[in-house]
Amino acid sequence: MNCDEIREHFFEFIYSEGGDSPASAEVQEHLRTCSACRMELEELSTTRKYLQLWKDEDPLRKVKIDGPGALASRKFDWKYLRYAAIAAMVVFCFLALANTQITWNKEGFSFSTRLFAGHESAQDYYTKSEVRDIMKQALDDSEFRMNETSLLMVQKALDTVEQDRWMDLRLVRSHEALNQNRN
Amino acid sequence: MVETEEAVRRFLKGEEEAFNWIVRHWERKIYNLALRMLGNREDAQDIVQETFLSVFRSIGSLREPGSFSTWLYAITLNHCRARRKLRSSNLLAQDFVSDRTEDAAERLNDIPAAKNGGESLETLDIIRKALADLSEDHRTAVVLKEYLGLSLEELASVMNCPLSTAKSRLYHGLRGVQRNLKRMGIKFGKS
Repeated sequence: MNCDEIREHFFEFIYSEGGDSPASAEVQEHLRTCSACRMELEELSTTRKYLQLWKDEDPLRKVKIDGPGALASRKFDWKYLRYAAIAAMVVFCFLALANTQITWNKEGFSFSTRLFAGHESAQDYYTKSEVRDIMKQALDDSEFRMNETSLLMVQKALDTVEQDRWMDLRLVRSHEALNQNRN
Repeated sequence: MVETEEAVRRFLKGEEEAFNWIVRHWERKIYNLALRMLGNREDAQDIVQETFLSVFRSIGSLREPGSFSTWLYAITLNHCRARRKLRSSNLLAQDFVSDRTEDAAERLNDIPAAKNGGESLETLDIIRKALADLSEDHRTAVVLKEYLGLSLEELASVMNCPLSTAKSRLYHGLRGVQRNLKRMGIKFGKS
């Protein structure tokens, strides 16, 4: 075996897990004659000693367990939190849809929503008496316009009759004049 | 680990107190495994909590209570891997690169002192950085073998790879640590 192959068996010496493997005798023989491999083995042993200087420490804190139930409750907390988040989203969606306001007028289409119905201002609405006044005014306006329209129509009809009468009179007079000329 | 096996069986039968025993018995090992994988105490503490939460959730799927330890280590390593992905991926490497060679060489002098007393913070820092610069697989193999004392078969089982692969990762991981320590100015050999 060459040096690289020999070194693959070093852990058997370092950790004494090789037992009496067939390679052990060959490795030992190689180590007697190869100073480089001998030094490598010594350095690996020294490396282990350095590593062993890092002793075990006590944990900073004890693991928090007031009985395994504490661990279990931590596990279920996440599950409940997830369900609560989903429920909150559903409620928000419902409120948003319930308070949706869609408007379509001359200015175009508009959409608005809010989670909670806001306090409506009294100024946004007409009182009963104001509605009565507006309706009365609208009715008066429409009656006035109807009367005005009727008057205009009668006027027009009278004008037409008067015009026809003059036309007929002029025709009669022209016939009379024609007959006198013949005579 | 007969006690652990027994505790797992008792917990699976519904004895909740057995889980407390499992946690108290294993939390120190899991904390130190996570600490050596991540190099950060707060992260390691979080990993301990997350690991036992996962254990509690999925222990019912453990078919063989005798293999609880390897199963537990595998869960811990999965959490460590996820944590490393979450964190800024280059954090440890940046620490390592930004560390001036001269500083690291100065810290070398602290290591012999650590043999007499406890290890100093600087010593831990050098070892932490030497481990942090390894690839994930090599670091895992070195940590499981050096600090948890797993056999090669257990190592292969935890890492879910063939035995030959586990051996190779361990060897190359150890050589990687050696190379990194040298790079930080630590001298090996008889000098």
